[in-house]
Amino acid sequence: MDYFTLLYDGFVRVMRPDIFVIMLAAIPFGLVFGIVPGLSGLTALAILLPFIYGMEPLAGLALLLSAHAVVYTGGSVSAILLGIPGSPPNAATVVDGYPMARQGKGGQAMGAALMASGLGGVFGVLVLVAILPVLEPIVLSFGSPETFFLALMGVTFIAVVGEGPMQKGLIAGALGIFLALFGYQSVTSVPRFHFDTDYLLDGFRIIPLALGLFAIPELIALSAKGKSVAQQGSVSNVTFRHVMEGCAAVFTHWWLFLKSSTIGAVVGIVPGVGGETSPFVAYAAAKQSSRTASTYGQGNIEGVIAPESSNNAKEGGALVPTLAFGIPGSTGMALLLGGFLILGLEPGPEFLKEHMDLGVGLAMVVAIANIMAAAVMILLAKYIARLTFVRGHILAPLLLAVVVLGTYASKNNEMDVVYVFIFGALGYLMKELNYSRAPLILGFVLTNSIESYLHISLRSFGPTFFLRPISLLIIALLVLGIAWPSLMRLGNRRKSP
Amino acid sequence: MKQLEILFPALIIVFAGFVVGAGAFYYQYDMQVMQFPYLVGGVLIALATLRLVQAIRGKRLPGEPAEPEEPTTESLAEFTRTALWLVGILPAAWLLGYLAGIPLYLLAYFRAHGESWMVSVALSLAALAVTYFVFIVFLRVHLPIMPIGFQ
Repeated sequence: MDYFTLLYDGFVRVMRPDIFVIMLAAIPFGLVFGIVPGLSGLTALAILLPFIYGMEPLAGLALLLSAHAVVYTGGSVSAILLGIPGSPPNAATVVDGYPMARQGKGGQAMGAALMASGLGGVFGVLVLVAILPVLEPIVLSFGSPETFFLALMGVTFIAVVGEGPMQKGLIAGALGIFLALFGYQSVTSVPRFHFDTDYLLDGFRIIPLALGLFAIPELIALSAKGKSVAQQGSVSNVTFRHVMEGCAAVFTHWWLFLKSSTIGAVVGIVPGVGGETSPFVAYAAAKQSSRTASTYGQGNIEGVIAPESSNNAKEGGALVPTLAFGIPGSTGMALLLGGFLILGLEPGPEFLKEHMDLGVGLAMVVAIANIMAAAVMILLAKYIARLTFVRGHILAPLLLAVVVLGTYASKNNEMDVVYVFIFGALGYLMKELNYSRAPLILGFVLTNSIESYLHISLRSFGPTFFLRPISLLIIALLVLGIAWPSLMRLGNRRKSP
Repeated sequence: MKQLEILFPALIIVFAGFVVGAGAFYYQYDMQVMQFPYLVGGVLIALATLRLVQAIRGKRLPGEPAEPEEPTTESLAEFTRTALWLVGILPAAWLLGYLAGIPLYLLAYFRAHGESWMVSVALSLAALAVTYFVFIVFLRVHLPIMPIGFQ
């Protein structure tokens, strides 16, 4: 089957009524999590994870990806109207978006942000669709030693370049791998470290872990705050005409849009760099090359278009290493890998060979979700933004109820609910102590592959399995990745007098 | 915060050491089963030990805030109150069943946090409706609707 037929088939599959309904349900969910500051896309993904049990792969992943892909679209609205980024990557949009809103140009800023987000998301997908067939022969040349080192590199990279200090990230990654050692070992089927309890025979589950790490700490913060996030700002001076003027501005600044989206997609491809980086890089690049650079920070529409284009474009880019190598390009993709695991899929070289159609389908999901989210927000943003005025005392317990019910629903096991709170305590501690939580979940998800491929490599190639050329290249990258922060510090120290 | 910075890696060392020790001496798994846990446990314990030593010496890692905020008695009391309220959903669901326990928990939570009776009852009834129609009717989840142990 040629690639264009695959693309067409992917589109047809995504437009199936059941998939379309799932996307329609997931998009408002993602938008709400984007709009309400403090509720990140990661929390949305974690809360949705239990609901994909028993779904067919495309449906389950469409639910997760549709919600995740549009979080930043929602986040731009609170960044502009209230001066509070809905999610961390929207922080760059505040710089010019909020001053625009205060000057009575909130509608234009919102229109520009939403159109840039929607089209940026589609641009990221185009990059993904263009790269996947090129990558296929490359990833198929990878054997078990290379795949083992790739998985190890994924955990290491997200630990090194993720939030918080590198050393704490590495501890988190190793802890994630360690927690996944409980239960039946895939190689020998021996139940490991079950401590004579039935629950641990299957090991710790991904859903209580993900919800505990990413939902409970945010709910504690939301509940402790109590009040609504938005105490200021106004949504009343936004008119549809102004929004449409903002949308049109993206087309008049088409070169800026293309440049920023390209930056987003490229940053997204780099494993582990995360979402917060690309909008700021795009903003800086836009300012550097702008004729109106002096008005940046005072309400320049270019300062809204640049970060928002890159924000959504990076998700398409982040899917490239996730699908092709099983290495997530962002923290959200690390959680998405958990979704793949629940659905019995393992992204990586074999995935592209066997499930290229699914990969293309997922690209279509991201593209369509971005367009739909932008359309919904252009029409309803003014009303949806009022959600930020809902008090934390109301939101936190309602979301907690969804977390508890969703966790129980995933396996009908009360112990899962208890473990949500145990892992919640772990997540809270990690958040307070500045330990990145993404490497932990990624280590947990990738352990099965890491251990199996290590075992196969040792059996097939002996203890010198790491001496194969591609393996050596990956090891070099791994070492460089770990040493990079120290090298940068050394370089900076030499530069400064 | 400094005490927590010390306690956290110390707990990791004890946890990893206990688990690997149980595998080696209590279960006596063979090498094929324990090879990977030895490797990962070793790396984890080494990294956590390094962090423990740094935390005891008060060394700040690159990328960490210069002056981490020390918790006050009030902030600790506030955290404990918040955490206990959130964990309270567990006994509520276990003692009263998920269908009744969760809406009643929400009602108690809203009232205790200053919401009006009207808002509290309306939201709790909405939660009851969502729990019943979404989870039991639509998703066909076997939610315990009686107290746990009395199904």
